[in-house]
Amino acid sequence: MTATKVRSSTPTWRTYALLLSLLVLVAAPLLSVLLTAVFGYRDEPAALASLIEPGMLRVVGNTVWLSLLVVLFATLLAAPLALLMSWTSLRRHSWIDVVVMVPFMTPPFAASMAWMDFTRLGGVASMLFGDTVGQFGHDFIYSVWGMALIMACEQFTFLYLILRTALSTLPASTLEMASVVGASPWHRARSIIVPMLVGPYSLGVLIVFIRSAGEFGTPVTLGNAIGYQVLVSSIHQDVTVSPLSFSQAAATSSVLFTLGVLIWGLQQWVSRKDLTSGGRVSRLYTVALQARGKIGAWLVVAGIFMVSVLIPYFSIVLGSMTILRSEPPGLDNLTFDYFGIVLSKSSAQEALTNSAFLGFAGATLAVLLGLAVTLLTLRNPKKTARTTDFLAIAPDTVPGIVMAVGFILLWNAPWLPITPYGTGWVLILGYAGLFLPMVTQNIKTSASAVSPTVLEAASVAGASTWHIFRRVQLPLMLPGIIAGWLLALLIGFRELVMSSLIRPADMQLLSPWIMNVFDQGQRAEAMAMTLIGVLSSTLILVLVTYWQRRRI
Amino acid sequence: MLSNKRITLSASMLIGALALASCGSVASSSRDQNSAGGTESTQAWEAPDGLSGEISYYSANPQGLTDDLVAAFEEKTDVKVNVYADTTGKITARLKAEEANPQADLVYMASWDAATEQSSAGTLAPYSPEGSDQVHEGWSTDEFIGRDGSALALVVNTNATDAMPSDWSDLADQEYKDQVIMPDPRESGTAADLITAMVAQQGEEETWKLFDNLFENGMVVQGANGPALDTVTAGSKAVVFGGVDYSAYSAKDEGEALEVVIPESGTTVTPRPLMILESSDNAEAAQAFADFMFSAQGQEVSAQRNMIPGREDVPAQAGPQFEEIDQLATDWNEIVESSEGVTDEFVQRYLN
Repeated sequence: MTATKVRSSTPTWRTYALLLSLLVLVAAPLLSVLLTAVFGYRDEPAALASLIEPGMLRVVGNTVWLSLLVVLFATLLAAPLALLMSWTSLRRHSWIDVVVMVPFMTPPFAASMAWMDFTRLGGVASMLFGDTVGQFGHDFIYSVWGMALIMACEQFTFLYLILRTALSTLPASTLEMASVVGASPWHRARSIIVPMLVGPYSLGVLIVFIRSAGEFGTPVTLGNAIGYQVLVSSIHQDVTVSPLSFSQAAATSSVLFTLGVLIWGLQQWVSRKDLTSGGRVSRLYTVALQARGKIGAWLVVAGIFMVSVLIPYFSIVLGSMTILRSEPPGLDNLTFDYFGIVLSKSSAQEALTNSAFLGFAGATLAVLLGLAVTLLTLRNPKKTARTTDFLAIAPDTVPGIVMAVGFILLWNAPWLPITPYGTGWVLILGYAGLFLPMVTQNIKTSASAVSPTVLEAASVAGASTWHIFRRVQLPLMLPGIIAGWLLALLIGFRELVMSSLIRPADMQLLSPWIMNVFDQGQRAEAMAMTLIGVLSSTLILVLVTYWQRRRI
Repeated sequence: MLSNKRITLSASMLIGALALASCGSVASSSRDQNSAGGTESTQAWEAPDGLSGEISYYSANPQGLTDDLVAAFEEKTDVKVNVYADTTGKITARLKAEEANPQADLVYMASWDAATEQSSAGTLAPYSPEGSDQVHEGWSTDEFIGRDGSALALVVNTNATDAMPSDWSDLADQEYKDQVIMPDPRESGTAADLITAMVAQQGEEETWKLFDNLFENGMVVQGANGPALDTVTAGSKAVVFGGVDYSAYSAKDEGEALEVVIPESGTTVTPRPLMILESSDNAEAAQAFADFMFSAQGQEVSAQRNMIPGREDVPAQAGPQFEEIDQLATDWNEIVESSEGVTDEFVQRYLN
């Protein structure tokens, strides 16, 4: 209990200051969305009435169906891989964990473009596998199933990381005990493994669902091409294409917001009995694979990477090297020149450096806030602390485009004396708001693994609060901090929604740059830039992981 | 967490494989042949003295043309031009989002309709650039003027088909079965204008009969102008119905197997208007930039980038001259007015 005492002796103004920052960063934009939905935008009347039109019902239905399919595909990709990587000898192959990050670091619409080109009529798929397979691939990808598969490739990383962590916390001894007392494999799965996975899996599903409902990369490329409209594409249209309607965008956003809150409530209900043990286990559960099992396992891994990495990247590399679209991709029709052409463009250089810097700044701000939230609210039952904690996690229930619309409505209001709108600051704030839940979750997980007794011991030994934080807590929490910061940085670098909607007019950013170049028909340049971006991200990932491993 | 050796190994293997594969190169001469920015001009534009400061220029594609114009203007003056390049719909959206705090000085759009909208919202300052008295008839108003234009054409991939159409109705022939793509009029303003002009010129009955035949022959309607052209360039379809001519000419210049056919029975030439915002805080520089764009030199830059110049005395460099093209309709204000109704009817008939 001494630890609680140590914490409660810190002045409460810190808690209030933190609460206030989160109210401005998270609650105010969402409130602006709801207020605009109800009262309208400036002289535009409220558009709530449009929500009961039959067309809207279809769009909501499309959104839910698409997001459910993404969850399905993400589970099919993530679950087998998580099982293999936590319970079998495959876990020795840590390069798999790097490859898993590649689809996550790919700009969302670039994968769509790659798949669309791969399976277009007479495209590479037909050239390689014949017209029948090509036609089948075309019909599958150019459908809501294809959209879901492409989006799942980007999102399944979250689910994989969550499931793998959960499976790795299952002590081998528990399952062995069950087996000794005679529980059948089925019984063991039902009464030990499943209950333990419900919480983490439902959290993963929540994140995947919300992110697929709030990301417009695939909906505005493949979705618009096949005429499959979802909430996010109609909001995107309302705020970017004439005729503009912020009232309509706010009304549609509030539907999406409500959907997010409903799913969140459902997730809370499903995982009400949290059986996750947390912490590390002394001995990992291991399933020894026979030769045939090993081959099967590697085939599964190969299949997953084939769909999520190899095919899209084959198409991206080919696209970035093709000189003439109208000629077949022979040797004399391929070149490396586009990488040089892209890198020598000043707008492309700006886009790369701006995205790197803003992603870095946004991730760092999110880490500072997440750290403050963790320190001030962990094991603190006070109401202000609970509210702060809730606000830090809230953006995860809010699809990204809703936050972006909220930022536009709030920070563009004419009565504000000063505003970050029109400068890079608005993007740093926007990114920080988006990343906050993910970063906070990571920091909290590693913080809760730190036993209060360690802090008590330090306190008894006479260390000051600051000293305890710096020498004991911070080093123990560092893995969580770095993991959260790295994920945030990698997303920030390739982020599309905030970047497109709230960037200042003359500020180049990676994903909008690629999309704009695509729109102008310069496919090779766009694909080359996608590769440059992903290679830079991979480099950062490898360097940080390497540095972290050397430290330990 | 990871095995660095393996990553290095596989990365170098990948690069090695790619290096083996790479033998060609981008013909830089064809890509950048026009970047000189009008140095051949016989009538170089002279900038007035004392211009300085910055202006914000919002420009609908194409990028190369924008870059050339800005570079040439910055060379002649001390004005810095900040460019925001996007599509017409997105530029309109940004102007609206910034209406409380306007940022743009000068705007160039790809749609007459969008300019009309700005004009009736009262955001434009009246200005007639020097040289604007030379522009084609019907291309100028007090507040916005067509700087250059593009004709809608049949764009044919010669690797994908042996046939060569000469008019819209040819595409209903058996040899083009399932081979034709048209940009979606809901996404492409030029496609919407084309249908409207057809209705204006030959009446509803004739127009819908033409489209009935085309759809029966398997024509698809998909996406905006760019993706439609890309589909044909890549060979998934053989002909664009109503493709924007300049991007097809540019792709052809780069060596793509494309032909651009101006239909015999006529087409539309869409003027792309330039306008100055009333809120401009550097109107003098904005007007000078507008003057430059309408000077013979500025107009030649448009011609070099395969656009049809707005001025009658500056010839087009790719494709036929303005007066050689049979136009379905020329009254843009009327086309703009009836366009929405015609598009709705089209969508109702064929896309639902």
